[in-house]
Amino acid sequence: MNIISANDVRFYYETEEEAGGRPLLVLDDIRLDIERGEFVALLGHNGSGKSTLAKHFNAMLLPSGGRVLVSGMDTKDEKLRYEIRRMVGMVLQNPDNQLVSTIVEEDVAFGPENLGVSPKEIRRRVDEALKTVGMLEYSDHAPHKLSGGQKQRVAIAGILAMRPDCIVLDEPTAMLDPQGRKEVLETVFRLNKEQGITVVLITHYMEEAVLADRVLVMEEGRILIQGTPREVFSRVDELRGVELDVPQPTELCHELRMQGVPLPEGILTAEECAQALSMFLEAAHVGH
Amino acid sequence: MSVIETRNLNYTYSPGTPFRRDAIKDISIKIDNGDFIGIIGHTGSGKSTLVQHLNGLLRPASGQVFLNGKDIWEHPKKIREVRFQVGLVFQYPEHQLFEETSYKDIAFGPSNMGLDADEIDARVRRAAKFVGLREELLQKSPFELSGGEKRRVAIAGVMAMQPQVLILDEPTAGLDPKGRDTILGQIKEYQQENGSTVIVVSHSMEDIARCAKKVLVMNRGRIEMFDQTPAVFSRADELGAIGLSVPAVTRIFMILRARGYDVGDNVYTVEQARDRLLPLLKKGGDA
Repeated sequence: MNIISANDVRFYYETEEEAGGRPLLVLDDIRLDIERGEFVALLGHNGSGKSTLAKHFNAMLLPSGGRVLVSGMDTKDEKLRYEIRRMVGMVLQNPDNQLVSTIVEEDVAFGPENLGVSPKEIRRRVDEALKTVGMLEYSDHAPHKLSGGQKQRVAIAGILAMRPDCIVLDEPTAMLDPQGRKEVLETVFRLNKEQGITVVLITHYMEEAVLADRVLVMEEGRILIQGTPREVFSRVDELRGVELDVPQPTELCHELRMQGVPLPEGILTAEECAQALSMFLEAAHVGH
Repeated sequence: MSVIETRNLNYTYSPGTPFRRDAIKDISIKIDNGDFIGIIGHTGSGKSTLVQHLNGLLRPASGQVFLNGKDIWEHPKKIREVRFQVGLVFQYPEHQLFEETSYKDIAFGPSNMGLDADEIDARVRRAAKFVGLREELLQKSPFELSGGEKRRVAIAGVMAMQPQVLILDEPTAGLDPKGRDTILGQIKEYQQENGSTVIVVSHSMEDIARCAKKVLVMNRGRIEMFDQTPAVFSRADELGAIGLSVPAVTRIFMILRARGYDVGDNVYTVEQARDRLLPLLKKGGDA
């Protein structure tokens, strides 16, 4: 069953008079269904429309044309907006812009408080959410003293406390160091696999996209390529054409294939690449 | 001769309070004129604290910093001049743009140096060219520009001071792959054309591998390694132990070597890997 459906979604930004006053088309007839429990990675260079699309998933933006349905609810229906935002939570790029309180547990309680959840239930949810993201021992700490990765995990806990069905993350690791990126990614991956929460992850890091069930590549407001990570990353030339990277092992295999070495397509990790190369090196009697 | 040298540099945040934290400990390094240095280390390892000592933004608790052989704190009132010679571009420098136009923002540094109007104009245009800012963007408000363009205005502002040493703290953070490549390419070009010393702080091993000749690895406020790039990247296990990871192609070569294939080491870009593997693989094809 679909948790999010975008049906022919178009979106314009109104521009100022001096710029000619013509509306700027950012999303161009997007048709997309995201299934419950799916892990979708959304790629595309800056300005390709991926953040604009993501903001449609919890009614932060409303389509200029077409419809977005969240579990069957039309995002244009104002009466459903609270329920839609509870169901689809959003984590943004800058961890400093989304924590509102001076104590970690209060920050996590902010969402459920606004939903009118009873104090006893809030207590339970906050502890559970902090435990899930591995931050329970920090519940009485000040958020501004945490590392970037820890802040992002608190932000995720704040959404979990609202018992969402889906989490949309807009470049949640762009400002983090490798350790922080790993913490956040592992948390997101676990939520998806263990709790069945649908994940939409916008990222510039190809090694993060590799974890997804499905990868979507956006370009000029359209979905240009989609498929499993293996399918998408085997299209190296097209990805480069839209200014995206591919994982290094994939790129290396592609380069060697171009030179006539018949390596298989769809290699994503260093281990797979080394395995494939071993067979060819064996055949070439290198070092054995 | 070393353009920058530090001797037994120590710095502590919030000394005398319960929040006291040693940020850097006993740092002694020499950086030669014209070097391109990459500094890596996880968050809190002391990278940013170290570079802020190199232009006198932070004053060491103990130890000394030398610029062209002179202690920069010998005359504390002249520390401003050190900042003209050692230009520092902060993390997310676009947050610090403030002028009405990009042109004025880039001109701010050179104006403070007391240069005449013609010289300032020449420097602004030269710096803008280095970072690839189109002429028409110069008269726009920096706030009308895209994130990547803003970042380039901020970098140009420091380049326009024509510092002997240019330091950039995470210049590619938060950019998309294209923006990352562009900015790194421009920094590299700037370094080659001016022969100036460049220091780049980064989390990205791939970025460092692509541009730096030498790498300084920081861990818990101390220097873990400081050596030529290939020598540092060959110590993948040690890097892994302190939470850093080598580029994926480097790992591929490590696995192959571990399996007994004689493919050599010192590979950290896709191009190097391809050029190393092709002759080996082709040999088999011809046999």
